[in-house]
Parts: sequence; structure tokens; C-alpha cells
Amino acid sequence: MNTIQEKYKESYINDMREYLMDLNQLFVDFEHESNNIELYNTIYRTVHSIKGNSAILQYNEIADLAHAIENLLDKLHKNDIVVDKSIMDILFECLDIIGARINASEVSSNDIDIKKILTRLDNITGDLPIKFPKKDQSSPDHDPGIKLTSKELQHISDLTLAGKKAFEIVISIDKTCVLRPVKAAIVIKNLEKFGEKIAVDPSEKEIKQTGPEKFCIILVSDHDADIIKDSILYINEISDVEIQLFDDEKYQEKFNSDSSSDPGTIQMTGPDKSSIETVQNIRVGIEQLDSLMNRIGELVIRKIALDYVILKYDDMELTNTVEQFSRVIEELQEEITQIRMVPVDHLFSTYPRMVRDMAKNAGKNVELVIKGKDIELDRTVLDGINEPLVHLLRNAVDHGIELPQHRQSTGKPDKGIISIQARREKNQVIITMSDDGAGIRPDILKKAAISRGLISEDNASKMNDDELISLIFLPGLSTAAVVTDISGRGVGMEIVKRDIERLGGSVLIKSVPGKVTEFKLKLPLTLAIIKALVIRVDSHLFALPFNNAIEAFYITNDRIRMIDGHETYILRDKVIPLFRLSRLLEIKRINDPDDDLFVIIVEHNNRLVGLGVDELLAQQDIVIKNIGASIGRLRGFAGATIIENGNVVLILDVNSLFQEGY
Amino acid sequence: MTDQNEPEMINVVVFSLDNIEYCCDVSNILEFINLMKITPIPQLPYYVEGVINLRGRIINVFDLRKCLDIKPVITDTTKIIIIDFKKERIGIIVDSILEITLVPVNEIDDIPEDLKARDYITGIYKNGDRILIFIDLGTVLSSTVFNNSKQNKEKNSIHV
Repeated sequence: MNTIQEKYKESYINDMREYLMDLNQLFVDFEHESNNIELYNTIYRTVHSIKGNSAILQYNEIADLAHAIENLLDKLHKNDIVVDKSIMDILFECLDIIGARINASEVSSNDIDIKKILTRLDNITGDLPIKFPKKDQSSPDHDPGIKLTSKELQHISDLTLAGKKAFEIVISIDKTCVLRPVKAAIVIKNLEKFGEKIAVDPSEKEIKQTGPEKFCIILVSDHDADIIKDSILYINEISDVEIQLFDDEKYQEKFNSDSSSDPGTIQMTGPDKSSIETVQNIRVGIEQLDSLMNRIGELVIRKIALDYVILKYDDMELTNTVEQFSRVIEELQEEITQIRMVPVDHLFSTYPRMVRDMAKNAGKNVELVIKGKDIELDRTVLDGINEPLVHLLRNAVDHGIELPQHRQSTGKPDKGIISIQARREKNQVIITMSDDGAGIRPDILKKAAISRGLISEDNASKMNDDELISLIFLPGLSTAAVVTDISGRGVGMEIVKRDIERLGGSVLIKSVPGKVTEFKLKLPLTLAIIKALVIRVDSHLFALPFNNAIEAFYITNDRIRMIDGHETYILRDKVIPLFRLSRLLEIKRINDPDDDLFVIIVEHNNRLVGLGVDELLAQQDIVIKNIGASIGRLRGFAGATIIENGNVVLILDVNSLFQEGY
Repeated sequence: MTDQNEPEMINVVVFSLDNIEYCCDVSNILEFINLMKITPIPQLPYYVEGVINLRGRIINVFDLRKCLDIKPVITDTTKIIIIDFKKERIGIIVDSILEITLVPVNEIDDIPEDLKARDYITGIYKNGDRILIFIDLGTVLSSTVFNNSKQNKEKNSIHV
């Protein structure tokens, strides 16, 4: 019996995770607009799907729970019960319990939690514990008749000419069957084993939603009608199967009379959307995508090597062929990069629920506003920003937003607003997160930093407010007066900064005390293959990622101005500190430096800094590869890459390069 | 059970370091390669030679002579032994690879008590005049890294 369970377990779990994610968001919305009928319907449908899928795979406790949620929703809908915080709490709790059950390695483990919550739900709805529903969505018993496009008809006749048989199969599902959509899906899946499914009526999408008692499928197969029929009847709760040879002419007629377009012409609008929908998306494992990306990375390296090799041969034909070849690889690279892009919504959609719970625990009233959900980021980058963002959200709820009474006394509305916004800026994605809470007081940070010996009083007195607020990123500085159970778990702001910088991004903070705190995260679009500048210092080559460099130019030694023993360069009336890369990296020079040098202007901590190098060699795509942990933590490098001659070149990391350089 | 007449043998790779013959179990070694261009990494401890490109993979390379405080020399025979170290593939530079040979397990002796200070020496095999020293490369590396970071800490604490 459990073979079905085994077979569909993985896709069941995936579906359930999606449903739960949706519901978490939907419930948050529902709490604010419980009268929104459309919202209600979506929720109901999703819960219904959970029930359906669970019951068919015999995860009965989950199905029972989903059913109980449906009952509660019914009552809410009829206004028998008013939506309030306690009701929403129990609904969210249900989601958590289902989620925990799904995430447990064994989906059907102990069910104490479920029993408990069922009793609570029943107490609210006043229902008796449920068997399975008597509810019957008796759909009109309409006679399925398929409308085929001319393309499909053509396809059928091609296949029958090739010796296959086309069948029109009408399947009736038992009236008492509770989960007709799932049952129908199983039947269709089963039939697909026998041949090619041409069309289904009603459409598969409709079947999924309404679960009709009867549906019709056109199948082209090598098998005999009896065998196919038996295999369907073998599935339980199927009351009847009519199978007959497909009557071409009858359909031709139908097609002609139904089609509003010129009967003779072939529809160029493409195949019926609903029937193809299932094929257009394929789930691919993330590891598989990563390994594909690595392969393409290898290909890009080989391509660069090839570009270099052909320079030796002055052969038009060879050059052209390689050029075409290179172009295909570039396109491939672009496409795979695109495939790895995921909308930030994947992450953000989990936040409203999270913020709601945090706010509840902290006794605060908070609304989360999300903008720019559709902005896309590389999956690796997206994975990497979750923890920092959650940390910032916790900080905002716990330490940013004030308690309602406190807000009132300062003339603010009870409800605090936290907003997250994503937007694209050239090759970067900017995520800003702000809250209209208490803000951060620079004087407190200053005092804390001095008392802990992190900065000298002298230095502190020279700093402006923005700089003082940025002290929050220093290790070992936490200003929270109260350490609640969520934040203050030892993970400070320096971890947020380190995590973001590890992704090649940066964090800035601004704050107006009493009004607002804003974090601005700048993130690279993608991590795997990036554009970089290849530079030389003495005998060493390094790659500097493009998104770190603002401009680069050549200067003669006499343009360097000494200010208080520091080399500087005047760029458009601005004094820019100049750092020789050889000194930052403590490189022992073999050759004496030239009189002249190349300067690359980079941005660090919101300030411009000049990086002095011996030579700029090339700009090119590089594939970022990690350096193994056996040599410990590296300062100044983000990884390594392989260049055209097969040599390894280290990739510079501007953020950590200057960490001790200042 | 092994046959009484045929003692249990293990395959070992014999390599030399400052004219001393060391060996280790073949199964611990992934491959050995000729010395290739190594990209040095600035600011790292002396025993880290740098990184190489091994068929598209970036691999950290250490010099065994430096790890064992022997003066480094590069010769025509210098080789890199590739091993797995804490789930990472790394390279170790040795003077030369001499041979792969079979050693009877029951003839591998423990090291004399007095030498126990070096825990990376795991055994000794004598065959006439020849002496093979069994060395655990992973342990050499771990203890080198450990000693180095300890020294660094001491150095830092003096500064503070």
C-alpha cells in the first residue's frame, strides 16, 4: 500500500512546503483584511489541497488537521466566529505543526501535537471530532467532450498512421471519493505509462481545482483497450471506465464547428496552454544546477585559454570558428546565470510571519512592508543574505521599534513600520531595510566603544555622527539595553557585516535618533562568474572584481602628494588616500618599482581609496573558485581563479584588504 | 585469515627528504605530480607554498621540508604528493618519489620510546641497511598549523 507513499513522498513534501509558505503569507494578509473574499478563497483552496494530498498518501493526521482548519475557516467565513489575534495564533500554530511534521524525517511520526491542536480547534468550532467529510462539491455532471486543436488532430493522425491506436477514455470516479483531484491525477499519471496523452477534458488545471466526477482523456498507445481499462479499474474508487477508439471525423466536425477561426487554417497561436503547463516546468535539484554551473565555469576558462592560443596562428578560418564557439559559450554562461536567479520574494515571503511572531513576543505592534519582490538574485547570494536579514529584522523588532505606549508618548502611531526594499542598480542589487523606531544614538555608541577600548577618545572626537553609528559593526559592541530571547544571542552586527562582505557585498548604516534606522546592503548579482581587472604587482598577478573598482588610470610619480607622511592623489579636487598594494599585502619586491604607477579607485566603507599597482593587464571574465580552509583565514583575498595559461591568480577582496590597513 | 606462509603486506610509497627515506600507505595518497607553477599567497606562514591548478581545481600546497624544519631545496626530482586532509585535497612537496613497494605488516616496528615526541612518525621498517620511516602526512600538517598558530598567539599577546 505504501508504495504510493514512497513514490510520491518527495513531491508531496515539496508541494506541502510551498503550500505552507503560501499560507504563512496569506494568513498574515488575512489578519488585516479578513473580509477579502478572494483572499479567503485562496486560503481555503490551499488548505483543501493540503488535505487532499495528505489523504491520498494516507498522512491522515495532517489531512484531519487540514480538515479542522477548513471547518474553522467555514465558521470565520459565515461570521460565526470573529477573526482575532487568538484565532490567527492558532491558525499559525497549525501551520507550524504541519511544517514540523513535514520536516521530520518520517512524515508520520508521533501525533501528540496534532491531537492537542485538533482538540483546541474543535473547541473553537464546536465540532465533533471528524471522520472524513461528507462535504460534496457535486459538480454538474457534464458530459466531457474534448475540443482539440488542429495541431492535436494532426498529431493523432500522424501517430495512428504510424500504427498506434488512439483512444477516447471517459473515467468516472466514485461519488464518495473525497479527493477526486488527486485521484484523477493518479489516473492520468497511470495512463501516461501506456502512451502519449494528447488532451484532457476538463483541463488538468481545472481537474486539480474542482475534481469532477467524470473526465475524458485522449490517449495514443501501443496497448489494447482492455489492458488500459483494467489498469485504471485497478485503482480503487474508480466507478467506471469507458474506452473507445478515437473517432477522427466526429472530432473534426466538432473542431470545425467550435472553432471560430477559418476551419482550414492551422492555428498558429500555439498549443493549448493548460495541457502543456505541466511540461513547461521541471524541478531540478540545486546540486545539479551548481554542478552545471561549475562545468560551464570550466568551459569559460578553456575558452579564455583558446582565445589566447589562437593568437599564435594567423588563420582567419580558425579565428572565425573559435569566435563562433566563444559566442555560444558566452550565451550558455548568460543563460545558466539567468537560471540560477531567484526572485527575492522566495526569501522575503517568509518574513511577514516571522516579524509577526517576533512582534508578538516583544509585545509590539509592527507591520512589515515589502517592496521589490520580483528583483532577482543569484541563489547563492540569496541563501547568504537570509541570516543577516533575519538578524537585522530581529534587531529592528527588539531594539528598534518601541513599545506601543512609548510610541504614543512620543507622538508616533502605535504601529511601527519595518520596510524591506530590493532594487537593481547596474550590476548590483540594493536591499534597504529601515524601521521607524528609536534609532541609534551616536553618543551612546561612542561611549561604549571608548569604554571597551575599541577606539581612543581622541579618535572618537574626530568622528562625525555617521562614522560613530558605523561603530556598531565593530566586534564586541552591543548597545542593546535589554537582551531579549531572540536577539542578543551573541551574534552581533559584525557577523552581519562579515556575512555580507563574504558575498562580495557591503553594508552601510544610517540613523536618525528617535526616528529611523536604515541599513543598506549592496550585493553582487551573481557570484560564480564575474568581470575582473587583472593587475600586476612585482611578479604577482591578481584579479580585482569589477564591482569593487570605480575607475583606473595611470599617473606619474610626481603627481603623488605627501600629506602627513601618507601618499595621496588629488582626483577632481578631492584628496584620495593612496595605498600601494605591495605594501598592503606585504609583498617582498624582487624588482624595483617603476617611477609610474597605475591607480585603481575603489570604494571602501563609503569612502574612495586609491590602490597603487604596477600594471593593468586585462579585463576579463573570471570564474571564482574557493581556496581550501587548510591554510587558514585569508586577509585580502576572496578566492582564486585560473587564467588563460593555466596559472592560478588570486582574487582580491577590497573589504578585508583594508581591514588592518587603516 | 591470512595464510601462515604469506605474511600480510601493505603497499607503501617511498619518498625522500634530505636523503632520509620516508614512506606512507599508498591508500592515503591520491596521486603524485611533477612540480608545477605554484602561485604564492602573500602574508601566509613560510610552510605554505601557495596554490596550484590541478585540472581545474585550486589546491593548497605545503612544503614538507619546511613543515619539518629542514632547509628547503628544489631539485629536478621534486614532486607534489596529493592527499586528502580534513576533507580537502592538498599537495605536499617532497624531494623525490623513490618507489612503491610492499612491506610485511608484522615487520613494521614501533618507534623507540625516546623518539615519541614526534607523533607523526608512526613506525619503522628495517630491511638490512635500509630504514623506512612511516610518516603520517596529515598529522605533520596539523601539528605544524597548530604550532604556528600557537606561536602567533604568543607573539600577539606580547604585543598587547
